[in-house]
Amino acid sequence: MLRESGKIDGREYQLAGAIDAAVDSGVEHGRELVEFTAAVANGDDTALLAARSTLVEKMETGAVVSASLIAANFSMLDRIANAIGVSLDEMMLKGSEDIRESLGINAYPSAANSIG
Amino acid sequence: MTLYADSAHQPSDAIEALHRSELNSFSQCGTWGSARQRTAVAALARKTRVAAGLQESAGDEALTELVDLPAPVQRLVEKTALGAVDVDRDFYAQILSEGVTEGAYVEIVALVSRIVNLDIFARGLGVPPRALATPEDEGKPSYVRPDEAIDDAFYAASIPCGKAGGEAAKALYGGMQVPNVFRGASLVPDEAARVIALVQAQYLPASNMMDFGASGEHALSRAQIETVATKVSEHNQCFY
Repeated sequence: MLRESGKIDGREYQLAGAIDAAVDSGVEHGRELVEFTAAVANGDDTALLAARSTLVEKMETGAVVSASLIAANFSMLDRIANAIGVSLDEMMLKGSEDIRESLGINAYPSAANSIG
Repeated sequence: MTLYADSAHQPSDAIEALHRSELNSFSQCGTWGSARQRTAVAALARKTRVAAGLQESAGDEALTELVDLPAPVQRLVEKTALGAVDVDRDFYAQILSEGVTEGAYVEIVALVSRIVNLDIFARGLGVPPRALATPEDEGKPSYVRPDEAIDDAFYAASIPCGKAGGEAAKALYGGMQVPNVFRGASLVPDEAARVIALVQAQYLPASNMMDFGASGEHALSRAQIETVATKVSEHNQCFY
């Protein structure tokens, strides 16, 4: 999805930057969003406080609400997909071979539900 | 008073209303679980995440004592609350072999995933999880399994899109082809309907998801939205 949005934006985003804040993805404020998301998910209260302040300082009003909604939403969907063994849709499976390999996604336990 | 009045960051009225409805849903009778069972499941999910250092307490741990949840249910709740990262077919089969029905399994997974949704959102806003209500609904679960549900390679059966899904698919998916994850909880249509409503309000309407320039009403670009989504899914090691 991130790669496809880059095509619309006329940019080639570095997908590794959506996982590792040390990598510049090319997405505006991508690093700040990755740090915020990581802290929301991993329980690091100190990091979360700092990351939230950074979003407020650097991004437009509403960024904290939007980022929290997206983080919450995918925390829910990931659990449903993992626990019920939902396979990736054929269309998305076909277009993501290279990304999955390079980002290590094929090694996730839940990969068995889609690629055996 | 609004649900998130103690936060400096206020969601829209639509999100506030949806989350209030979500919060109330845990203490209402479901398809496979009573109001007391569902409340205890939600409270146990929270207790598990608090013990793992992932979130603060809402102070409602006592609700785990409302009923004596069977051991396989407790294991399923705990696994799902922590991301269900290593759940596989063997785990699913083991839980069912210990007496949890297919429908109950799906309802528990959806319910836990939905309470985590609310708690992650509150954490993002910088406020404690909103307290669960004490169940008052004494109704009995319907135990209705939709006739249209089929085995489609997920662990549990689901309602397919299109004609094969019949009226149930029309009601749930609005006659559209939807992503597989929308079908994940469809063995329990009431739960699937809640999940789908959340996704469309919190992420994007289904009709906009494949428009990669669309960002709905978010204060983020689509690329920024997908950055957050990717990081969360990496944390949960979710291939999907």
